[in-house]
Amino acid sequence: MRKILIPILTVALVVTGYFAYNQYRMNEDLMRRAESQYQRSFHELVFNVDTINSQLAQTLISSSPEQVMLSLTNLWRESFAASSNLGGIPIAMVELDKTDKLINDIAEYSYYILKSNNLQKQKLAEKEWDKLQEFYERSKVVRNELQSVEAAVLDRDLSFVEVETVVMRRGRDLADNTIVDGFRIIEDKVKAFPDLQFDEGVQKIEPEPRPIAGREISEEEAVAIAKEFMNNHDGPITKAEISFSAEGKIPIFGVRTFKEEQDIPTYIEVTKKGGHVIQMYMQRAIKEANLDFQAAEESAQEFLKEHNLTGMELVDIDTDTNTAVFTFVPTEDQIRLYSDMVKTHVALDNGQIISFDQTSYLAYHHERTIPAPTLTEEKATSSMNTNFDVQQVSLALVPGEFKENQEVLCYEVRGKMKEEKFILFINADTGEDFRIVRLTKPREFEITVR
Amino acid sequence: MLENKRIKALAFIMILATFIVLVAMDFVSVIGNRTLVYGSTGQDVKTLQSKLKGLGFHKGKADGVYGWETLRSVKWFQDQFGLKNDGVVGASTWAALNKAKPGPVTAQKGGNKTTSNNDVAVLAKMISGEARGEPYIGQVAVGAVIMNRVKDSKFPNTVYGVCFQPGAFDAVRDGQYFSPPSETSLKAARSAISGYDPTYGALYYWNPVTATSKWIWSRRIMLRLGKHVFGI
Repeated sequence: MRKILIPILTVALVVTGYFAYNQYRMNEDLMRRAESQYQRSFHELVFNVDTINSQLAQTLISSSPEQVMLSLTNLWRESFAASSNLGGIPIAMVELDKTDKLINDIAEYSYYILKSNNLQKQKLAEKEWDKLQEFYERSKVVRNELQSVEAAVLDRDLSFVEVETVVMRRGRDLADNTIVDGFRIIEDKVKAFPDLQFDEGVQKIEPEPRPIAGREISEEEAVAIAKEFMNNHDGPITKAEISFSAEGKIPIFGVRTFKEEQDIPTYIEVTKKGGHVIQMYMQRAIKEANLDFQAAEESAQEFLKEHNLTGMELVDIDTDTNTAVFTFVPTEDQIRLYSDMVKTHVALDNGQIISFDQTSYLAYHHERTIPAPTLTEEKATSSMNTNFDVQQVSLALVPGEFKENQEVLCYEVRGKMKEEKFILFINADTGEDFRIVRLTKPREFEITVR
Repeated sequence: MLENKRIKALAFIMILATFIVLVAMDFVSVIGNRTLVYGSTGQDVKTLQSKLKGLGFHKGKADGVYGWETLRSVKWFQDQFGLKNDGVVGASTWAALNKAKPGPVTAQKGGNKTTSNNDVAVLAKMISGEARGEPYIGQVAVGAVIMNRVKDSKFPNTVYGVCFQPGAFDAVRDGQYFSPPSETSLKAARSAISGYDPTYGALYYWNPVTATSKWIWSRRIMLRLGKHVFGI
């Protein structure tokens, strides 16, 4: 008996041992690969921040406009890379808001100076110089701290995979917690500086929503509004109730409605002020498409009209096999108002609107007084690149990038170059290209769904 | 001497027991209702794989080893047939497998393929992994948070950059991301990419029951939707 048993057990042990060893090796191998990715991101981050710091110093001491321009370009590029590398290391559990913001402010400010100043002719303004000086001081603090962490990582072979597995996943501290502590110190030190104040003009715009007209409504009224909306849209509603309430930029009540013999609700968001249906989301199975875009657009226009959204022009279509998202903008004196978009998601089986979002419209639409364009259409488009085959021109009011140019009157020129479709927005006052938007949709491919 | 005999007897009983278990397992595997889980092997796993293959849910070999690929196929099958998609092949899954006919599943649904571009696909897989079972609006909301991050300067500038930021999303860590998206999540992704945002600018969402980070609670909560709360 024993004669058979011992060899069998021995073989089993060897096989198990070999298997375990193999697993262990594979695991080690994977960990090293992850570690090297993290190490690369980290060291690059330190390099980026160091470069940012030195480029800021160079900008501050340089007196030649060309050199300043070059430094600013480098600053913009390095701060972009820094953000991306910071996103590549496993420190999601450390709050790095202010550090992220600093890096980003540097990127945006250098971009702003590059874009707005004609540096060929003039030097940095006093206040720009001050701002760069501030950035220099702050980035120096970040750099110093990062370099201390880097020294420890190199000297003591600290592992980011360990940070990930122990600190991030299990929420415990490591025996040598230098990496995590280092990032916490950076954030604390950056936090200690007073917030940098930028001129109005420099801030990227996120325009404040205009106050919505109307009085405050109660929950019951919101339910009644949603019920009526859905009764008209999708047939009799058997039940409607408040589902949630949100206090964001536009306070709303979330209502859900049920149809008979249907347990998947439709969600409707009703503004607390004025009681407007601002968004709607239906969930239903969508059968095979049998409508073309024109029929679908008519159906969407019909829906918009029912809800008092008239004079809307279709500006974009995004589609899959059986639904399409149509984006509309209102017009004023035939000028397209791009800030005031409305979106409708149309089911292509019967043309029903399955979701709807008029947040931008409610937040920004108002009667504007738009001055007539300085340039005529012919004048604005006359100097256009000859590679561009113009198909359609209209006037549009386009939201700008910075606060100082909130909305810019442009000629919207749709056309193509070979198979690439674009919109060129040409400033109707200066004739410069204000923005170029690529319309060619990214390539679509088949994907398996479950 | 007595000791020796006792050991022998014990060893004999153990071997016999193992033998019986093995035979029993083999026997059960023939009639095909042993409960199979990730890691199971045997004839019945082969049967499972070839059944899944016949139904169009399994692309790999029927090698009798319940591995990663088989798990994915089983989950997919369970999902399609309204079963709990836990990857455990118990009585109900076996019953569904035996009842299912090849073809009709895909035919009914108008083909289980659809078209998408890469941004939509990545976003849809993420929504599917993070918010499956949530109401449609909740799925759009998860997509909107990702899109808000792409636009926000504090986060990476691409959909993939945001999704694969280490530790940012559970679905990437636990592997739920790595399976086909649901059809609903594709629609939700398309809505979110075209600018729908039921959260009005939220940058974070978390499940109040399972959230582990302490600092996440310092965020201002804007709304509660399904099992997630959304905040900035």
